Amino acid sequence: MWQYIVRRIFISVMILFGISILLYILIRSMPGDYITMMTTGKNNVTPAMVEHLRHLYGLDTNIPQGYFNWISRAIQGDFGVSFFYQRPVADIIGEKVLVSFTLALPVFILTILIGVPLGIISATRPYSKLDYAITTIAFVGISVPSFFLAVVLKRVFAYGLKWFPPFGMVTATEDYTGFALFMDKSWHLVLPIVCLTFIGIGSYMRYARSNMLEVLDTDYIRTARAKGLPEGTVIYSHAFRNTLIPIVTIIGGSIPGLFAGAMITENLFQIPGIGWYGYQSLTNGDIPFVMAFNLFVAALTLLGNLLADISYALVDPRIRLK
Amino acid sequence: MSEQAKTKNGKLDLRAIAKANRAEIKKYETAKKKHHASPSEYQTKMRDSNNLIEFDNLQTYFFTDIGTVKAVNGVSFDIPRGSTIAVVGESGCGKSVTSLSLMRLVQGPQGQIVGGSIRYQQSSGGQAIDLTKLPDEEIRKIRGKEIAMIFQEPMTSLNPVFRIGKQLGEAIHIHLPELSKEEVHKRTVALLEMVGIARAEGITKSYPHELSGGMRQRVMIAMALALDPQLIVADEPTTALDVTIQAQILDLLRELKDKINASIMLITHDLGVVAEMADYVVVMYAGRVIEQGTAEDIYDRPAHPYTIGLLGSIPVIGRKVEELYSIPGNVPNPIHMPDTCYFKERCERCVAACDGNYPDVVELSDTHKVWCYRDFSKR
Repeated sequence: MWQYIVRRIFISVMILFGISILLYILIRSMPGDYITMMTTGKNNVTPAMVEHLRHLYGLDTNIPQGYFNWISRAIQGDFGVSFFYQRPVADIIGEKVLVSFTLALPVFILTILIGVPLGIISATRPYSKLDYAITTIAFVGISVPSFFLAVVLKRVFAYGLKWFPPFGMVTATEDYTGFALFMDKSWHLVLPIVCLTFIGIGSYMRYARSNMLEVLDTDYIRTARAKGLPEGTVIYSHAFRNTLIPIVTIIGGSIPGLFAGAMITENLFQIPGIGWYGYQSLTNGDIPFVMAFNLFVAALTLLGNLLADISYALVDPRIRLK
Repeated sequence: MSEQAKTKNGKLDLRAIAKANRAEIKKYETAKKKHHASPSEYQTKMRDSNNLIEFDNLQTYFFTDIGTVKAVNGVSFDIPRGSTIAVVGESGCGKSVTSLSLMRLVQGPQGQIVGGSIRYQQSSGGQAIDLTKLPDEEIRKIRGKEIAMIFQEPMTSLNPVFRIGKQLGEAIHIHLPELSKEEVHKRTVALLEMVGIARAEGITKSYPHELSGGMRQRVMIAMALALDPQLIVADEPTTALDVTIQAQILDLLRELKDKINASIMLITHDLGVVAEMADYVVVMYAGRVIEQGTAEDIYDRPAHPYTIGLLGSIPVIGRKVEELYSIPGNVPNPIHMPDTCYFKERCERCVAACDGNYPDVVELSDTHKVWCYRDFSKR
């Protein structure tokens, strides 16, 4: 097991190297770098000044050279200073990840608590009206783009009914502390949480439903019934334990994603999380931040895959990692 | 709905079939869901008090998207107390569905028992009941306790995520909730020892994937015998096992059957197994019984051309043949069965009458019955 994990981590590091190379090439190839954006339209800027700025920001190099400069410092843990925010990138990420996490955690818990039971209910009454209703809702959730849903939610519940604030994380005009601050934050986060949860439950619901249907068709479920077990025990003990196997792996795999932020939703609700900062830096050509942010997300994804495999071994007695 | 209405321009009208299916399924499902059926609705009388089970014109249909499959179409036979009865026939002839109907384990909602009855003589209280009319809650108390089943796939019939001890103990606990955990465990170990598993204590802590196929089938048998059932339904118990293990498992079954004085309903397509085990044989073809009798009747004086063909296709040691005999043709499409003898197309002994309606029963002796138009007087 430990040998397996160490080997996987080693492979993950190799993959991250590859990703960083591709990322750097892509970012440097984007039209309009940070300096161009800063200086365009400003008549008093001479070409010499632009050259000087380029040199200061390390953009006067060619791509391989630039990458080499970046990676040699990144290996030592120095991800540089953000062009746009003028602060060390690592500090910003460390700070903003927590903001994203406060939004992502309730979403994560709610999607599982709603999605999985809905899928189970659906599977135990396949092709009934209830099943069709749940499936329809799930598919609407999967299909509807987050920006559209966010705007509709804002229009109805923030501007129309005025139940919830349309954006932000705290009421700017107040200076709450302690429990009052917590309540104020919660109130602000209701709409984004609803938005992300609705989008997320669909996949869990479909996963739970199809797995449950498959399991209910197996020989061992027939055995369980032949023993004379009540239907409740058959479904919620025998079938559910087996349905959980693939679901637990998805859950395990998505835990690191809790720190990756939700780029679009955070933007629309103006929640200063890592997703919002990532978006800003991307539009600004903020190379150090974009590199660090994307590698961070990539590392989380790889970690998620590793966790998924490990959790598989934990819930399924047949699987032993080697 | 008539068959004509289900075809439009010569094509299957799938929508009409689906609609008709939904209506039918709903009818049977609501009947099963009834919680407070009064006992008078399912109590009945046995035709012969020596019988444990009487199948009487059982009909189990599957309402599929391309039409109704009459998997079991009017099957009648008896299982006398303390005897072994074998149901034989090729794949898809309805023998498994017959046994699943008995356990009321037919895969719903498509599969439904639509007619006939399965009378069962209960040991406790002595009341005879019709299993097809029993509400779900009542059949549950009979499953595993009075009628137990061994399935054909030991590799997949045990839940992969629970330990053997839990799966066996659960079967005991559900019917005998008054037993303590220690008592259940003791019984579990004793059962495993009874079916010839050495190191029974250790096996209770194993997961199914850690056991071999033969071991798993022994566990399944232990599970079936856990509560001394009156009837053990063994659905091809040795099909998935290699020959040496097959013999062991059959010996075990026979031995244990005598020990707890149970009846066995053995479902198989292996005529070798039948000869070894069975007192009575029921031969099924395309959802119907075509011949039944004692083992001697069937082996020494087979009457139906299909039975003769089946027996002819067994290899015999010492006889050299170029090619083993096989019955020509295939089983007819189960959806649009003609009202003639189902075996007619494949039969080598057809007579003129075979073009007529489905043949009536011919009683060759007290025990031997056959459904065929052949002239049996000349034999």
